[in-house]
Amino acid sequence: MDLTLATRTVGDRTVVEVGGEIDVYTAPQLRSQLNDAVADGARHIVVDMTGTDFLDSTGLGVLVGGLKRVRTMDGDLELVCSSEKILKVFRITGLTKVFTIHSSLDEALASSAGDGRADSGGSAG
Amino acid sequence: MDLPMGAVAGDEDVVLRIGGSPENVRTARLVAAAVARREGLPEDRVDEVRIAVGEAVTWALNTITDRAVEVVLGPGGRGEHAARTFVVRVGGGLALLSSDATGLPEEGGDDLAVALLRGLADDVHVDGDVTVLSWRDLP
Repeated sequence: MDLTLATRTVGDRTVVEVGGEIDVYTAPQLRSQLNDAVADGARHIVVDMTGTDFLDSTGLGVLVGGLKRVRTMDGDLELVCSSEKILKVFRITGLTKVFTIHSSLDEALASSAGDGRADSGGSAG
Repeated sequence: MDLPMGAVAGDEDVVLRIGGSPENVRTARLVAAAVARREGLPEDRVDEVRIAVGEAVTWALNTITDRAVEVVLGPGGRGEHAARTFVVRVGGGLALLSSDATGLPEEGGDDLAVALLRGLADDVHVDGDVTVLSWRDLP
């Protein structure tokens, strides 16, 4: 299955929906989408992987790169993922400790709206 | 066909030659999953094979520029132990098996691939320039 990408704004969040397979072939498209979002001013990004059915290390690397990029601008990048086989990839690589992973987009948006994010920048160790 | 991986393909093995485009990694994953299913792996283990083979082939494609990556998939465990094993051999080299994914890895860093291989397969080792992945205790 090919990669499908769509970006939209919900409040102060930029939601990037990713469907299909994220792998060495398609990951550059995701990288471009995230770069474009940041270039357009996105700082608080939610990558919605509800429709993602495959993720490899190249895709993980792109997500990590996106997280690093927005963190340098006091932003954040959170994930939505409920697929056990995708979550397993995050667990194996230890990235569950790096990313905030929500089980639904609603949960991500609710969480981001009420977590006091505005005063949390710069304190990460 | 010569198998550069020092392995002799058995009658039940499937041998793939993957050309240099990353687009072909998906084909390798699909075939690996199909062969794993044929060998009786449960579906969660088939997924492990699919991901791990993709990682190993991607790695190999990144290190080979002048020839195809070769993948041999099939049953192992033909020795004295009764337990059957599914074995995948990917020619192309893997030299970073000692690293682990910790903290924030570099984008595109190989440690993520290594962590996945180690976490998905029951055994991962390098035999010459071949990455050998195996899954034990097939039904």
